[in-house]
Amino acid sequence: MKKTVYGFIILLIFLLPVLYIVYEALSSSFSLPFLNIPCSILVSLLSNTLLVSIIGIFFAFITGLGCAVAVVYYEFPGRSFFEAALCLPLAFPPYIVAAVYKEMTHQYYQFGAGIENIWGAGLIFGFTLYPYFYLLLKTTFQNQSVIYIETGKSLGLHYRQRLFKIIFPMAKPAMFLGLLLVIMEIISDYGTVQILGVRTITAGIYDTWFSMFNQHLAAQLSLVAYVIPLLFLFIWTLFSRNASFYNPPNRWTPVKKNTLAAGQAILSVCLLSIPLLAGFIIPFSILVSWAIEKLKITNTAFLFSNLFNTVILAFIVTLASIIISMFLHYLKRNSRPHSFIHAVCWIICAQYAVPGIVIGIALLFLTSAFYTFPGTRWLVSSIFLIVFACIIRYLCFSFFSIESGMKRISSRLDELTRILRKKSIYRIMHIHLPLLKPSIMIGCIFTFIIVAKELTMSLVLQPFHYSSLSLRIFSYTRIGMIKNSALFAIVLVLLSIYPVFSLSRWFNVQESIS
Amino acid sequence: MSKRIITGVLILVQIVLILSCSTPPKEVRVITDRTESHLTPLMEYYTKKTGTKINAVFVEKGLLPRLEARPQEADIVITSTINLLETARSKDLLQAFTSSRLKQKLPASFRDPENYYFTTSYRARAIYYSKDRVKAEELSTYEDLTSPKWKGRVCIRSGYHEYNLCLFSQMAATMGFEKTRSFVEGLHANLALPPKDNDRAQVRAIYEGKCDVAIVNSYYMGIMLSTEDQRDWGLSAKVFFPNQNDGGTYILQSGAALTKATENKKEAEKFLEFLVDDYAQQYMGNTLYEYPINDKLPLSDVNKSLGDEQKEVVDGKFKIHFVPLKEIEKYRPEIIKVLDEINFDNK
Ligand SMILES: [Fe+2]
Repeated sequence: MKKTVYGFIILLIFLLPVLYIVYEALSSSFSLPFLNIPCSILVSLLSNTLLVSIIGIFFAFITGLGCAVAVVYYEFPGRSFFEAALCLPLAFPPYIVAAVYKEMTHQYYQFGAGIENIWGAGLIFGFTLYPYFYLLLKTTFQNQSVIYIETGKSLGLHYRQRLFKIIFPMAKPAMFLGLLLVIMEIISDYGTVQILGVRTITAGIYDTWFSMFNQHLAAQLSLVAYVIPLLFLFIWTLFSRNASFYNPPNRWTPVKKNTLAAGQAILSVCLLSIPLLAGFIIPFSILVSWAIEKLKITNTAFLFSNLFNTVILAFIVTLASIIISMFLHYLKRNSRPHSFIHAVCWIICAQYAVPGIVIGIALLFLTSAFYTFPGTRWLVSSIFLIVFACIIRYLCFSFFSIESGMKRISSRLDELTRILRKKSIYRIMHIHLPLLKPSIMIGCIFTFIIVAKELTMSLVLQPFHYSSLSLRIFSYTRIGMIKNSALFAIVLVLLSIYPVFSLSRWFNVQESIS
Repeated sequence: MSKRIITGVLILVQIVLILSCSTPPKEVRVITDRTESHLTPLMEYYTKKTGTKINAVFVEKGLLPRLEARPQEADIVITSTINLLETARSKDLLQAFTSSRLKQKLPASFRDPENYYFTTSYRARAIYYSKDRVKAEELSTYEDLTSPKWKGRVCIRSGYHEYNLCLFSQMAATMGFEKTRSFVEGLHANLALPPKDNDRAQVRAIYEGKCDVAIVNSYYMGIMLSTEDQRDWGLSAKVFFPNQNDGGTYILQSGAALTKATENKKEAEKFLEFLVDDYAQQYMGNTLYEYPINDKLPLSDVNKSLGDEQKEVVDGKFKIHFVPLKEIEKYRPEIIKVLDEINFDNK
């Protein structure tokens, strides 16, 4: 009973932005939505959004899959370097990569056709977001029981048959989850498409709300943007009913790796270098050269305060998300499947599908009352709202990470402590936490790097006299002076490099625990 | 372990509280959509001179919705398109200023009759043209940009941007909605590129040979010429003041106003007075390359040379087409409807 109450309160808090948007969308009139907006606009916003998503997903998927297969099933010189380094593009916010490439194509405009179009945007998303696919698929491949593959072998299946009949079908849930993450990032993106001049549905929401002052219509558009990924999410839940994502075998044995011959090894190293170069090394080196060029006129006075603000924000959100996720898991752990708590967790994680701009605007309006209560003003004049918005949107990262760890803890272990009459807090601290450590670390890293990159919600909710690395970079980029903020961009990327590099390691530790 | 976590959280909450609550005694809060790097030096100068801290938030888009959502947040609104202030007033978000110094310093043409807001500076929504590919004689009016000779040669930023909404609305107020509609359609048909990016990027497109003429604000010439990486863009183009024989060039006015909710009117008005003082006016003229509202102040050298190939323009002084601000805001919804219908930004 108590659990239901807790669950209900948390659910309500997390649903606030969406409820507000639904209210705004419906409160205008009871005419059908979109009657006010010409069909052509809606069609072009939606088709742009879908096209960019499809192109982005295609490139991200191909790249992620190729990298994961190479790293898991083959042995070649530099393999372990690539295994960790291929995550590096995660440290780069897509909008910075977009701005860097855009500036470069402008400097050599006589050679290039430019990337300021749907294809360019899709390609940039592909190269910056493929690590989602890569990490998920890599984990799945490593997890797959060798027994299945051996069985396949003994049944006389060719290598290619084994790949398509056993390995890929088992990786379907991972593929779908990767697809979801990527599509949500793309639909919610504001900075990248703004810089590349591609009008997706977020641009439509921004313009209707901020130029037309038509919040009802903007809210209706927001709901559309929310529903697209939700549809995917719904399909996924149907889809993953009979295929659980993590099915750890009883005894984990590392996958046998085939050693590549010299020629093949060189080829695969070259191929694996492409995403690494395009998604990280090239933009990073360009930034370094710009930073050196502009070092004298870069205003470093802001650098430390902006860095401080970024780190504080990411740190608070990470800590809070982990605590809330742990709490949710303990509500969930002892409850029946398909219970209320399970639904609560599902809905909370689905908040990732709400575009950042929508959460930002909703919170902006929802909290206006706090100005009139004397004791609550600090809530709206500090970074609290950005923290709150980030927790709502990004909780799924810590939640899913911890979930994968939770599933490894057998419930027999819980029963054992119950028999020994230990308090549940003892169970958490002394038995679960050490086992969960890798999963918690993965959750921390994901949350930290995602919040450090966050732009859209900060843009809408920034308090007075506040700036962060991403806000500073974006404001320079907007006036065509990205070079002057190159140093800020480098610092932002460096901030996430170590966490990203260690991601792969923690994933491996997690595997070895079970 | 859990104790340590709790203490950690408490310390963090404390840090946030201290960071957010420590307010110095004298402070004016400004919400603005103007460029941060342009306005900050002026605010810092004021703080140095008077000791009053100017606390600002720079919202590039959505100034008005934010003000509406949080009317008590700021004492002063400063915007780069003053017609937004007319809308803010109609939504009861502003209050009239009472400072006699302000009233005395402001010319009637740059002040709301009921003193709800005033113009701090202005600039022309001008036509930039390629030095190499276009002669000044080929240009005449805004409307002329729709003629077939400019097919595939025109550039402009997003139609939904305040600058363009304001331009189109002024045209609608002047020559009627139907004519403006065909102007917007004709302009769209002549575009070389889909509308995107900012004003400077349109001049860059001239520099790169992607278009020959662009509708861009006048002060960007000065700004680009004084910005290392953008000098070449500025040098590749010249500024033309359209409609000099026909009503005049449309301007965009930057404006300022007091919020209705301010509890700090005295300090806030002092800062507003500072904005029309010679120091601030000269800063806006010489550093931001805008036009000061006091026409006795000298123009910057760059601005003096603008339009030097037009015989009607002497020393950078051009004929302005004034449109009452109430008129401008009236047409906003209809202009947006037109933009939607022709899908202006998505060529
Ligand atoms: Fe501007």
